[in-house]
Parts: sequence; C-alpha cells; structure tokens
Amino acid sequence: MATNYRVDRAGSSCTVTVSGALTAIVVPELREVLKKEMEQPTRELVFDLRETTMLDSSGIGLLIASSNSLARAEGSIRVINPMAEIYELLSKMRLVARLNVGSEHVQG
Amino acid sequence: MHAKPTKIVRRQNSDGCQASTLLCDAPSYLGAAEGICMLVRHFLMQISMPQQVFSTEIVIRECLNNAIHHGNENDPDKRIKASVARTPDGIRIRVADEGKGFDWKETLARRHASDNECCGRGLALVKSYASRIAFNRKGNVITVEIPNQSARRSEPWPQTTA
Repeated sequence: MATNYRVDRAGSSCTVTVSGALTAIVVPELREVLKKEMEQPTRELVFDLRETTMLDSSGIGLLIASSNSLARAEGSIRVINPMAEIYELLSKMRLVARLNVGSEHVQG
Repeated sequence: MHAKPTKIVRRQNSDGCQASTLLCDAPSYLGAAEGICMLVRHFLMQISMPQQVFSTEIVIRECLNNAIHHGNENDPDKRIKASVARTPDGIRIRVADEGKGFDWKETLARRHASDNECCGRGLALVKSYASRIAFNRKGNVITVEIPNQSARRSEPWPQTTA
C-alpha cells in the first residue's frame, strides 16, 4: 500500500492530506517535511485523514509531536475525516479530545 | 518499493481447514514488515475474515515494529518471524525476534504514555485490541489473541501470561 501525502497552505493554516498508511515507514520523512513547513508562521495544522487507511503508534506520535510544536507557537492542530476504524483507534487511546479529532468520520 | 518476506507457508489446522495459518520469515527492517502486513491483509481476505483486517494489521504492525527496533535493534541481518492463525475465537498472532528480550512484566505493568508523550504507545495499542497477550520467558516472542469483531471489548485491559 503506497503512501502519499500533500501539504497545502492558505495563510497561516496548513493542511496535510495523507493517502494510504500513516505509519513508521513514512513518519520520518513526513516529520522533516512538517518541520520545514512549521518554519513559516502557522496557527493551525489540519490533518485530513479521509484517505488514510492505517495509523500506527508512530503516526500517532507524529500527530502529538505536531500538536506540541504548534502549542508552543500558540497554534493548534485538528484531525478531520478519519475513517471509522481510525476514529475508534484514537478513541481507544483516549486521544480524540487531545488531538481535536472531528466527530464526523468517513465510514470504512 | 518494499522487500517481500522470503518465506510464506500456509498450513492446515488439525480440523483440516485450509489456509488457516500464515507463516512469514523476513529480514528485520520496516520494508519487510510492510510486505508482511500486505500478506496478512490478503490472508484474512482469503479466509473470509475481512472484518478482522484493521485490528489484525494494527496489532501485527506494532509487534513487528517492536521486534525490529527494540528486539533486533535495527540490525537488518537479523530475522523476524511472524504467524497469523485463525482460531475458533478470532485471530492469533505470534511475532519472534532474535534479540535479547526485555522485562515484559515491568513494561506491561507500566501506565501508557501521557497525553503529551510522542512515543511509548505501541504495546498499549496492542493491548487495546487484544483479549490475551503472552510472552515467552526471555521476552523476544509475543503472542496476541484478537477476538472476533463482534466479541471485541475495549475495557478492561487484557489478561497477560508468560
């Protein structure tokens, strides 16, 4: 399952769309991309997971690290459109509120 | 892009059911783990358990990541062995590495990562999908049982045994 991601910016808002798996094999590269992106003034980072089919603990780590970075810059993150299984996973890990996960999710 | 595991064997269960166990033996790096995950997805579709794909894949991913990073210490010359078997109650996963093992009792007893920690959630994730987790004495072989989708529970954390 190949993973692709896209980063779109509109002013101080940045949206990352991940298609495929947000897992250990892709996280190091995406972390570097986001690190560079966060050098620009960023108030909001949105992870759009509508095309994300798998999320592991490394992917969760990336979401939390992004949230921590944004919080230091008085920004915040949102996670939107997770498929039902990923919403359940984040719920099991008690991260729905922490990561500001949208309650509307894509049916898997 | 990802290397394929080098050995795949399908066994029959004692009841004669075909394709009930998938065995993989692969070099210890993340690309090979991706190959194993792909085989697991296909295997679960073959044995008509599509509803178990997500839970099984997330569990085996975490077990393989731990085996590669912590067990085999990112040494690609070492091997990881994995099996996925259908059981009357769901799926049984077993992952073995060539590492020196770890104090799994201490790790299992530990509270999982706090809200702001970026790592340390792998085993907690496995626990959240498992009905039973067991390690060998050394701590380099983990066995996880995942109940059928309809029987799955989220609390309390599962029984753990040696």
